[in-house]
Amino acid sequence: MSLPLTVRIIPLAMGILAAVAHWLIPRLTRPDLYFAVTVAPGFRDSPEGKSILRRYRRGIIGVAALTLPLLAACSLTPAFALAPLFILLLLGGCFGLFYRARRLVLPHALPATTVREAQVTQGNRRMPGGWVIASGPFVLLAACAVYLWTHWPQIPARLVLQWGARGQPDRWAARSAGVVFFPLLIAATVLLAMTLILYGIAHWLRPIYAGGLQGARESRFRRTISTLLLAVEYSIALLFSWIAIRPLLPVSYQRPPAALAILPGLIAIAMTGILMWLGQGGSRTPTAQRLQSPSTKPVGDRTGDRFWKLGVFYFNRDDPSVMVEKRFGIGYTMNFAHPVAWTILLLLLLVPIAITASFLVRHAMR
Amino acid sequence: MLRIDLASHVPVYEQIANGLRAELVAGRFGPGDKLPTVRTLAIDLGVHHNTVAQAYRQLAEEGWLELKRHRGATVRERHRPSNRSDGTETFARPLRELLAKALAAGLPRKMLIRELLDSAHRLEAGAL
Repeated sequence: MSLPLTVRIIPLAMGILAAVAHWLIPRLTRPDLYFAVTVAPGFRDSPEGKSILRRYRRGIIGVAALTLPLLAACSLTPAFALAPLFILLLLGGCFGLFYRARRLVLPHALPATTVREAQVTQGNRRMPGGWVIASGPFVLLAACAVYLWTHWPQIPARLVLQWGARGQPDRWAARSAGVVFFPLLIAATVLLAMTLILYGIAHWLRPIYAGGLQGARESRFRRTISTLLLAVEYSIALLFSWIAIRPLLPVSYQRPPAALAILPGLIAIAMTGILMWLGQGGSRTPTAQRLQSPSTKPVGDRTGDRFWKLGVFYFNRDDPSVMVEKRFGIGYTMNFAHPVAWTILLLLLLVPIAITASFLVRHAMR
Repeated sequence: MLRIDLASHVPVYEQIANGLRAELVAGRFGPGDKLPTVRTLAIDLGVHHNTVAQAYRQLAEEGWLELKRHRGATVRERHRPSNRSDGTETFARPLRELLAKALAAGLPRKMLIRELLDSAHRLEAGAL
């Protein structure tokens, strides 16, 4: 058991968070979208709607009861490497339950309104803080790169790559540009994808309500999501900057602090809490709930059900929006009919691919 | 606020042009004001860029907008033409058709006349 407990319980915490989120999501979406299907706003409170939700939630309890003990066992035994498998099992189970519930809701689907609205004024389409704040994380990474470059001779010939449970280094690598700058490159790639998403939320997102109180709360929701995204970007930049310049710090300061493992978890819990309070598009705020009058013509997200593949992937060539509201979940997803969406996805996948490839190459060379 | 209905029999570009013209006639935009770019409005309405561009071109031909590449659409100073009678038939015919449709649907004649006059007054006063 080489990893500290704070690290080992991360998969279990992720599993609990995922199960709780899946339990809650059906009630956090817009009232006329139920399991990613456009329905009459009152459908979710009908006996049929409640019955579908009960079946779904019973399933979630079953999946959680099966996988969470296995994840807990992984945290306490040498079988820690199996944790990702059980996380996948949990997520797969939740998706299967969502898909089954969606099929039960589909016979009750209604065509969404064909009315679209837009503000004719230019409006505020800036990212929070504009480009100055958005470029902050990149400036931090660039400053780190320059600092490392100018202090190259001081960087030790052997660099610590991994720390054991007792705080002793247990993996090293020889100093090279690839090893020294690797954390900064990873961070820059992830941040680039996140900045594209941030820009997309400001410029490539179609509002569902363009004006009035509903438009205002939707706009507030968009700003909240963007601000949270920026906060995560700054955290990533700070974390990876620290990792990159760690070799230049005194040995006693090089060990990762326990807060580093706990902090992302705390941020994730705080973000989940805020988003659950807001609901999708701010639909759960008290003002928004007062505005929802029962109607037979649902507004939904003003997209057709047929463009939602498996209920979660939006693919519509005729829609110029790159970002759209998620139908099952909180926040935004992408229109996969656009090359920009695939670019963002590729940038996000590049990091795990690069890490896996370097791991495989290292093992092949042994 | 601009509203369009994708299911309407009126072409989308025409709905956009009509909506924008109503805003311009009502005086919501002054000369020199900028309208959203073609791309932005297309994203907001979920329609193809060409559809919005066509609506902008129509308004530019009518003298409402000035279009410049990469700089979007700017509202132009436009003086209303003096009482012209040659264009009356252009508007009279669709108006007649609309009135016939409304009367056929059972709407009272007096109400339609009142609504027509009210709408014209409100448009001129910039309240519509």
